[in-house]
Amino acid sequence: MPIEEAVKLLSKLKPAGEGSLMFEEERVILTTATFLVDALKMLPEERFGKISRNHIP
Amino acid sequence: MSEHKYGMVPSDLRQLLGRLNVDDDGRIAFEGERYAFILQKLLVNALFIEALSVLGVSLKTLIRPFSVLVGGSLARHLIDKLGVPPENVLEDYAKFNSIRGWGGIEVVEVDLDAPKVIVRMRNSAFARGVREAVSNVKEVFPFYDCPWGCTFAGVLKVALEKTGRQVPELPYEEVKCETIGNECCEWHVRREN
Repeated sequence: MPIEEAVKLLSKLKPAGEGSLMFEEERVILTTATFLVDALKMLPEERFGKISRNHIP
Repeated sequence: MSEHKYGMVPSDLRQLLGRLNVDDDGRIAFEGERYAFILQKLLVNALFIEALSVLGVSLKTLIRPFSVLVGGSLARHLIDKLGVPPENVLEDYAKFNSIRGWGGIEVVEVDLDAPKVIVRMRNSAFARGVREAVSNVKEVFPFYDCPWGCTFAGVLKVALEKTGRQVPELPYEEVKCETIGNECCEWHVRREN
C-alpha cells in the first residue's frame, strides 16, 4: 500500500468521545494482530475455515 | 543507560497515529508490534456473537484464560518496550486501550500488595456491539458478561511479577455490566480470601 494511501486512510480516523474511535460512520478498534488471530481461532473451523496470521493484511 | 521512554505511551489519537508505521504491504506496527484496525460490527456484532451462539457458556472457559494472556502480553510490551514502570502499568494499559477504541476505561483502585484492581469501562465496544446485535441479551445469553475485564487479571499478574511480588490466583468478577443496562461495566480482580 503506498504510504500516501495509508496516511489518507488513517486521517479518516476520529476520536468520538469516551474511548470510541470512528472511521467515517463506523466504530473501529485498533487491536494487536495477535489478539485478532487468536480470537478468530476460537471460531469453529468447519464454518470459518482455518485462521492464521496470513489472514491479517 | 536505560533506553526506556516512559511517558511515551500515546495520550491521544493524534500521538498514536503519529507513531504507527505502515509498510509497503499495508502492515501496521506500533513499537515493533503488529496491529490491525477492525470494525466493531465485524469483531463484536458478527464474530463474537457467532462464537457466543455456537459455543454458549463454554466460551467463557476459552475467553477468560485467553483474555488474561492478552492483557499480560500487552502489559509486558508496555513495560519492556515503552519503559512503563510496573507500578503504573495498569493505568497506562487502561489509557492505551481507551485511545484504541475499546471504550473509556478508568482504573478506580489498584493495590499491588492486596493484590487487587477495580476497573470501570464506559461506552464499551463489546457492550455496544452485543446490544446492537441482540435485543434481549439476558434471555438469549443469560450467562453473559463482558470479556474485557479479564485482561486486567493478566495485567495485574505482570505488574506483580515485575515488581517481585508473588502472583496468586486472581479471580475476576464483573459486578456491573453495561450490556445489560448498568451505566458502565465494573470489574474486580483480587486474590481470593
